[in-house]
Amino acid sequence: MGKAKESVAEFDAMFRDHYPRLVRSLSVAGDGAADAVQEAFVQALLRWRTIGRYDDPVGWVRRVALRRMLNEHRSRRRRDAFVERLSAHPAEGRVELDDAPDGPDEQLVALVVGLPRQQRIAVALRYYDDLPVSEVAEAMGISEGAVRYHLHEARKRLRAVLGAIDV
Amino acid sequence: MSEPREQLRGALDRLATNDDVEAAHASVVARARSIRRRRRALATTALVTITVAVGVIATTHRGRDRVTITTPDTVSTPRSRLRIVAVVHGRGLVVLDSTTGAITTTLDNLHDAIGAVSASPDGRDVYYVAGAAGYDPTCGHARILRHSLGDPPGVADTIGPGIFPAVDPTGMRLAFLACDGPSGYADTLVIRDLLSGAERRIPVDAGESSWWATAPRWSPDGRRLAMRVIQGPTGGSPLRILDVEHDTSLATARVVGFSDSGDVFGYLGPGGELLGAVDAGAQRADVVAMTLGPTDAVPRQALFTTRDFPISASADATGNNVLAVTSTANRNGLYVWSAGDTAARQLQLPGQAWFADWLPNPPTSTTVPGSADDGLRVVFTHTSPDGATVTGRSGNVSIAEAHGCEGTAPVRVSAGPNCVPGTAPGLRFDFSAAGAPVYRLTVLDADFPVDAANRLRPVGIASLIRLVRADRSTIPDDGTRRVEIAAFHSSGVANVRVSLAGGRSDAMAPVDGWSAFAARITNGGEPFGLTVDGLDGNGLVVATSLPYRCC
Repeated sequence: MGKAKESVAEFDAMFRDHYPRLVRSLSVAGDGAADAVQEAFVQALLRWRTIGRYDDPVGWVRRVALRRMLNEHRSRRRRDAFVERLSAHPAEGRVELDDAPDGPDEQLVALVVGLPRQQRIAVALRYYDDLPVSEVAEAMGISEGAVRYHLHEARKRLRAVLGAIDV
Repeated sequence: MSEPREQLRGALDRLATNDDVEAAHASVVARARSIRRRRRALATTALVTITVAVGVIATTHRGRDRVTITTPDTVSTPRSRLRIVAVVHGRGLVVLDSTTGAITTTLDNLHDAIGAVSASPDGRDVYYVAGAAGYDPTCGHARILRHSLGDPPGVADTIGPGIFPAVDPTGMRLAFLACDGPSGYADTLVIRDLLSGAERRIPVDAGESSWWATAPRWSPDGRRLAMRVIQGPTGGSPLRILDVEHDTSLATARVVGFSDSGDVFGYLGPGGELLGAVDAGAQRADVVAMTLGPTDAVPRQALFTTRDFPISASADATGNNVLAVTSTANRNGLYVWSAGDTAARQLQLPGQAWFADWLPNPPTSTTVPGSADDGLRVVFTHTSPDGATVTGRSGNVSIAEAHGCEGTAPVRVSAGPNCVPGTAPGLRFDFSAAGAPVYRLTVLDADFPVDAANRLRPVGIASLIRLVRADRSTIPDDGTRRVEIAAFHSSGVANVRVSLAGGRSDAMAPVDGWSAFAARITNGGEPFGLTVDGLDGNGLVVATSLPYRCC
């Protein structure tokens, strides 16, 4: 098999191995995960000769997809309204328990959905994707300290229906 | 794993969605093919343009005591043409002709993620963010770079950590945002004096960590900065106008209200109006001039209409030329409008874009004072605050006068026949050899001796940059994963091959005048030597930067 075909085969294998998991974990983090992950894979394929040699090409795809999700979110938010009254949009702001569904699981889901975006992403990557804090920081493009801050704030909000979680 | 963690995982699992792998794979492959086809078509067009427009640096007059250098712009860019510098995802910084939309230059194709961009008023420098894309309000590893567009274009140097740079109307100050607090968000406005390097750090709100700011914009008189401030989950994001001289925090800055269905992007021209956009329905928006009152900003006149709402917009210094960038998942648009136009022109971009700025045409020629000796000429043009010292010694290197070339920096220099000490922290060198084009190398904080063979030898932190005049340069392993390389070939277009010590070719790039490209080192942690070969003859100059772990 030629080098080019070998390279394409490597990309295909990575796509099939990791696409479902990336979509699942990033869909926990926010909307538009499938589109963002696909777009990241398009970029990866276009530069596969380089990216295929990275230590962690999947991490690269995750970072690019996450960035795209965040930018889409911001564009949409800016289009919708300049003055961002998050309190008027429970899906983006704090969800009070009084407004949440009855069962503890439903309450927990509602609380997760109501987490600020950065906290929700950090929680998704740390507790759903089981990434270490260092990789969460890498994916989010922020410092490990900032990740811990977001996780700490998220755990504080979730503690109402959830016991203490180890980091 | 603890029980609460399992419970949380279960809740998160309920939010997760699945997607059809094979359908997604087919879509990805088809989209990549489509982009490749489009790039090939653009490359054909760009090749013709670049051949005419770039790399022509002619020494037109050499007198006894001075050398006049004609810049590429003199040769290729009519004065009436306006230029735009845009950030294009996956492509980097590109300069476009605002009339034809043709890409005349790609300034920096090194970085995967590029954020906001701001051009200096003299059109010589472009400040931009690498390591953070779009409107990301967190700093992460983001840093502000400056790319010189002088004669010839230089490589980028790092200003420092930060996002959303904005050069003031005099070109002497740079405003940007930094993340000083633990939240990781842009919580500090920094105003840096570009000559002395002195900084003022203004908290967005000293008492509230959930506040952060977005792109600052200078008023035409340079006395105010306008920006949105996000005030936590419940506080909204009003426009705040900071009095640079008097305000000590964004919390005390003037609050300006305006329509919830609009946005404000900055100032419009010398009159102090604001440039904004309002929703026009049917997925369209009007880019508007807004009158700034004591407490609110009111749309006064619709300038032009865009499909999709702009995510950024910018006016030139006259206020007569306005650009707007739109970007959705499916469409990108760069709209250009000039006073008197009934509608904006839409230019095609080679990829998704978030930011663009007007790039003024620089002066048509630059006179470099100094003796026309046979050696390399070193010109100090800029200072910064870190206190690095440059000293040098050589037989035939002489230092030109400390000013003049760029018109920017008073630098303390004393020169003797064979001794050229100078204190120029964070400086930039211009190298000129008699009978050859100017070599420009941008240097960070460094301590550079110049040895007897006219080479800059790195010492200590100076290993950030080295300059080698040779056909081959081998760069030792410094443990970083990324190496940036700029190369110049004095005899025109040349090919450069970058290869690892093991012989595996990592990148091959055409060098046309000054070119910058990156080689990513993936050698399994084993020591490497990176070799840059000029394949087509003599005269290759290679400058390398061994800076950071990135992207």
